[in-house]
Amino acid sequence: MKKIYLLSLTLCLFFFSCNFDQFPTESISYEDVFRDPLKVEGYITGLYSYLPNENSYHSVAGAMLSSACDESASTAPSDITLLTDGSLTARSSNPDANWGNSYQYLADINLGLENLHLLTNERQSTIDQYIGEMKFLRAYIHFDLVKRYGGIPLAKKQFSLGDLNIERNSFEECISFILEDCDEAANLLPDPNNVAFGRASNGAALALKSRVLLYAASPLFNSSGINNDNNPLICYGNYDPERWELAANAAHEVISLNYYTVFQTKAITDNLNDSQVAQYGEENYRKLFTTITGNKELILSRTAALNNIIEKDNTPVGFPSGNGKTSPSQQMVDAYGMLDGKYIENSSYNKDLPYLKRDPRFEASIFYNGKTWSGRAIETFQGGRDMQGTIYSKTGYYLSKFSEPSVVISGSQTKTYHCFPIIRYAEILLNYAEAMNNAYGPDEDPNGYGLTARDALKQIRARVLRPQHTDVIGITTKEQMNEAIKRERQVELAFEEHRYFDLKRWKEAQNVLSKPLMGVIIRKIDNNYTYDYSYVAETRQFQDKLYFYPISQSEMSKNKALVNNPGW
Amino acid sequence: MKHSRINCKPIVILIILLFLFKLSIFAQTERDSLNKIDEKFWISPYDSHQSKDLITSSVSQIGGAKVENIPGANRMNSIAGLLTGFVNIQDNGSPGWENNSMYIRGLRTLDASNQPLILINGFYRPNAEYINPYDIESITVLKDAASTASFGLRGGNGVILITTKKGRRQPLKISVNTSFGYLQPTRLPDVVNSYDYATLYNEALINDGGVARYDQTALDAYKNGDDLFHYPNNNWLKKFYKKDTFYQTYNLNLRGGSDQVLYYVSAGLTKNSGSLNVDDTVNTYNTNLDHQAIDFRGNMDIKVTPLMNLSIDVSSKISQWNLPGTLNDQEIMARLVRTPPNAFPIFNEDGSLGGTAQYTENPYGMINYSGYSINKTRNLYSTLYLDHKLDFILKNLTVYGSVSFDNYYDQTITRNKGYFVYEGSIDTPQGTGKPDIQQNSNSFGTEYRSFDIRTGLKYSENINEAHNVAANLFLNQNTESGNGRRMPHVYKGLIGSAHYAFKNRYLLDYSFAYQGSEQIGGTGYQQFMFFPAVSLGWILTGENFLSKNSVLSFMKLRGSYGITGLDDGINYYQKSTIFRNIGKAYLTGEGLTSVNTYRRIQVGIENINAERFYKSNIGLDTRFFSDKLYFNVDVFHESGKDLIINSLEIPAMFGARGDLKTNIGETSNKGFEIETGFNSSVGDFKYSLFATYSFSRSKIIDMQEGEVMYPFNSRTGHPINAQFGLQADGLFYDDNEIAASPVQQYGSYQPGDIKYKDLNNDNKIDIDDRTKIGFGSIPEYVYGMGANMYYKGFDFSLFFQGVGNVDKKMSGLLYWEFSPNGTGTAFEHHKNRWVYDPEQNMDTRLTATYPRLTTGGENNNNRNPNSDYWLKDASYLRLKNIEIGYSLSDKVAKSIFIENIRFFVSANNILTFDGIKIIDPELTSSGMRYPIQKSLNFGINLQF
Repeated sequence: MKKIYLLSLTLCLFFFSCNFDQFPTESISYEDVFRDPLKVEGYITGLYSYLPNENSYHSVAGAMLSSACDESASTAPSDITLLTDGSLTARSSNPDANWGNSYQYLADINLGLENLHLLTNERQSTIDQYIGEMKFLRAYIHFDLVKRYGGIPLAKKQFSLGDLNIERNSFEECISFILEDCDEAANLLPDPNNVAFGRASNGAALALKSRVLLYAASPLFNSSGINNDNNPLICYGNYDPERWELAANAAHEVISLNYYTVFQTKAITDNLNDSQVAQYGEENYRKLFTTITGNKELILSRTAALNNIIEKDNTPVGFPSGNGKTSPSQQMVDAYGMLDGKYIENSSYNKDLPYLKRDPRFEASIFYNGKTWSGRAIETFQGGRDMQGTIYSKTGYYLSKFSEPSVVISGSQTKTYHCFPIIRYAEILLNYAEAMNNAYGPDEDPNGYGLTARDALKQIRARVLRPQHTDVIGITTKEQMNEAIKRERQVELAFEEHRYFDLKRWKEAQNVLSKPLMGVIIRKIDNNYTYDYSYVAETRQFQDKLYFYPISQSEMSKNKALVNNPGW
Repeated sequence: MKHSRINCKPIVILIILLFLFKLSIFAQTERDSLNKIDEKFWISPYDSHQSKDLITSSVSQIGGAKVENIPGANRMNSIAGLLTGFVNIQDNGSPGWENNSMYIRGLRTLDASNQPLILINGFYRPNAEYINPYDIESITVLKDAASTASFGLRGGNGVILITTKKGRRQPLKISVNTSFGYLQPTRLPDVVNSYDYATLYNEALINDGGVARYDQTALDAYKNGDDLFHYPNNNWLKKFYKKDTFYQTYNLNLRGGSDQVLYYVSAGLTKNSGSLNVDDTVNTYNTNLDHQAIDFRGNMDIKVTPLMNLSIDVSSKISQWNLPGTLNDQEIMARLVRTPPNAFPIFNEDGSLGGTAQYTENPYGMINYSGYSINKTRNLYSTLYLDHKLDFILKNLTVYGSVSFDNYYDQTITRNKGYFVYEGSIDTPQGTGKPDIQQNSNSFGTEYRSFDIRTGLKYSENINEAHNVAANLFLNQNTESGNGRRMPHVYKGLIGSAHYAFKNRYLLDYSFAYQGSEQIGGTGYQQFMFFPAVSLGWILTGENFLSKNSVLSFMKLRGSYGITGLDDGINYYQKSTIFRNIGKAYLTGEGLTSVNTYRRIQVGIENINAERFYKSNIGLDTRFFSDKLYFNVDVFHESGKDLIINSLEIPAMFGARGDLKTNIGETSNKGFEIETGFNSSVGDFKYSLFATYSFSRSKIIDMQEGEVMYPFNSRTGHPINAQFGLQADGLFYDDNEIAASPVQQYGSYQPGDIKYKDLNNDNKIDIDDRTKIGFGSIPEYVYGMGANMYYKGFDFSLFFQGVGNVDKKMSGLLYWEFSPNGTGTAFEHHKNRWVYDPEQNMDTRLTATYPRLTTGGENNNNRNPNSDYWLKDASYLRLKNIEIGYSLSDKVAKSIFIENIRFFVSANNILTFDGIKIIDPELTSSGMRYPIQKSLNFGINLQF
């Protein structure tokens, strides 16, 4: 009998010698991920999903970032007005905050960089490419934060749970670390023709570098700050002309790859008539955003599956399934020049027939009253079909850019490619022009890059204008050229999330963004239209403190070492 | 209560250990002569039987017979107020479900569950609250650390211990119990008729800046009721919901035993009739909403040898609900309540089913043309127990072991189809129904399996007549699988307790659990946590200066302190860093292809621990006048630490996805309980009175709230579930008042809308004006009082139960007009709304109890923020139970070969006194739950 007891006791002890299961079977540990080449490829590829605007370009509280500046207003009510009506505080939920999301991806990148050594079963060139991609993305994400906040705590490696009271790095430190990552990435990444569409090449790294240096050379940062207070978090503290030179050189490096070109499907020559120029120019500009194969202007594009969501989002509300989410402003419309390259102020522009013979990019970017689309004319006059219902355009215009005319959005729907341009060659040319002009002058090229500021502008305008009209007329001085470059940039890169930051870096935001957003009231009388340009679509406010977003109050309370931006 | 007289002989020890526990309700004992209450007294599932007078921990107990004749499947809904320290809120009245939320001594944790553990005979069994009431021997609430520390990682919220009847050394006794009766809702919402609906809706539309929808013709037609096809006037609840339902329960149990075998076997059956008005001519299958259940239980204790006992305990229950279509009972009730009375006629003139494009759910179609579904739950619980005396090693040492296997699952079978409604005539179908297509499905919801193994030693001895010692130590492993987890959940530990009594006057108890699970962070032994508790007692009436006085018959002072645990707050494998395949996150290449992305979705918190509660308790138990009067009081304090909440120390910069909760929160909780009673007799008339009162209040000490703008915004320092929001200052009288008041940032508003107070004087109303506005939705105190009387075969009992310090937010489907969003109906209380219409001579601006009407409902943002305008006091006092019974005298009974027979008539939940009045104050949701039922019952308890 005693044996039975001993036996049963040992049986019981047996149960307790088993250890607990440490890990859930349906999940994967990081050892599993980083030893497997396929999982690593998936991990790295997934990092790109940080890039904005995959299926719907309206990602800031349901609106485009353009509605935070003078490009447009959001058609439907949206919290983006927090940025324009003066009510933003450190405790508000800033729709463009991007802080938490950025740091999640930065943590993912640093996790990847620190564990990539576990991958032994892969070619070195691929591993180099992965490292290059991660460094590029790290630079890109850091810069996205710096654009908005100024100096930020740099995520150079993974943060540890124990010590998270980390200070903000100065603006200068941030820029130099970002440039470091760009340089290393440029060395490791393959050439553009060896890289799959949607992934970063060395061209992308150099292009990002050009953008970063241009911002760093701009008046907002390349000075003693907004109110001359030399705050190292948000400026260099001094003006240094050499910064423009560095920016010019970086843009030159991208150009000298001799790979990228301004995209055209049809060349525009001097002998074409007006309607041909308008048609070819519009097509060239539209196809840029919907073509994958043979598109050598897109340096880096955010990929998306075939869809027609962009068209549905932007088609005027009078069309079935059209949502018309963005209302471009009259200011935006006025920025576009004419078919002969002149601005509307000094040309044959007629304010009673305002849409006649305009720059093809206007045709390709704006839905205006009378434009033919999807079988009929667009009606944004009072009482027109596209101004009915509870939500319709605030300004009399809708956004046409990025939409493909042949796509059908209701009934038997069709889809197309949409490539949101993260960086494209036209921006590089504009960067080059601005930097060269500010460093040396409109027509100077002391370093022998082979291209002056004026030349660069002409290349861009050649996409949509006759060669004889590509020069900007009557511009001779540096200041005049600066204005011309800014205007060209406004028109060329419209609605691509540039203008809001451009206005800030030029220190023009407090003037431009405090002006009301204008629209047009069009009235139809028999077959004629009258245009009333005095209509205020949205009142706007801008305070100096808005040059930089506030770090959210909740983040400030969790990290006591953070200092908020001035005015918040 | 007599003092024990300790004797050396083993037999006497057994008798002494089996003290008769005289329940305070004298009539109870009388009735219990039918099912004589077991003389053993379990207060801890692990311990040897212990006498209540020697307990030093804080427990409260009632015998099962007290609540066995009360209808209802969920026993927990009948015991609040009878036991101290126990608050119960019934969430719905759906027969067979009657879901509830329970709290032992209130709230103590922030993000985890506050629900206590329910055990049957010491084993955790899911759905234990649905036990057959006739099987219950006793229900005990274990409240302090001394009684709950040994439950380790799950004991933190207290324990409800249910013990079941076991066999007895007696000839076979057969009991038959049957009761049947009528159920009715305690309250049903008061919907308005079509005329009132149309008038109110017109008013709401005009308030919102629109135009009236119903013209005078329509209004007249609604008033006259001449044309019910075009101007219908349907009270859907009245037409389709049967207020009276009928239930019946039957129970048979057999109990007996000999020297060798003790047994108890029981079987039960319950049926609830359907509560919907089904058209029986339409279908051959049942589409009503009804319930039935069948259960059985059997346990046997076998003395295999003089030294070895074997017990086996098996129970099983199958419950089945029938429903029309695929909607559950709550969804059906919601549709019956919220459909406006004029939405459509049930049938059009041509006989087709009525409906419109907007209202496609015709209750007649919903009930008769949707098919049906059957929901079944099944459980099987079994335990095998063996013990063997080891007297050859040490006298009174016993080794024991048990193996338990539990299984539970629920299954839903649907056979449903759709139907069209027709607007006006059969030419205009509406809706998306698919009438000719039957859709079948068979799915399993919750599946649960548990395996529990225990082995240990127990010992009890009396040394030299003065020292009573008992101890128990065992190893336990409990493996649970199912419940949505892919990995089994394993609890392993060493559990023990020791008791020492010196001359039955000085008492010392110690208990502990050293328990771990795979979810606890750390490596090796760090995955185990230790929960000890110690308690002391002093029986003052054992002292010479107090013994043998005629007034004070018993007095015991006791105190306890210990640590209990709660692991409910730990997320699944929170200690591990986990990657997951999130699919194709990004496409590349001209072909836009991709591989699957693996992303880190959880950062592991390597040292995550269970939450710990440090509980102390002091109690005084007294009895007077030869135990005629008793008075017990407990005072307690709990300190909750290491609560698992989001930490302020981790900024978003850290870059983690998903929750990043750590052991950082802190709360405290304190209160007291009183129970008292008196029993006496005058000749043949015996009576007893009793009352209980339990109070608890929690406090948040650290919830990582961070800086708040104003001190009154802070939740820290307030009870855990106190209500927060704006303070309301009545309704705006007119535009002048609006102009003179601070701007309210919650949307547009006009006269008749809620005015809020500007607490921070910054001239605007926004989130900075929020503060504590009321009690939480869980009552801070619960009380009960009752009386029992017995005279010559008649027995009578009465029991009231009430709660207080509880507020309920009234909003949504049951309270707001036309909810949701203008599509619903209106209620009688909306007639007291703010309205000012001089032409119609209506002016309620000063007397209104409800804001101005709107069709915006939930979209009307000014009324949306939490405010005390919508908070109502949800205290109530209920007559829970009133019962009259008559037992045939022994002579008569025996002449028909029955040992005893008792007839009774009773009523439950028959009266409710409260301030809410529109719905039952216990229903916590603003949606439409199946109403709580009151009942009128008839029954027979029979014993052979």
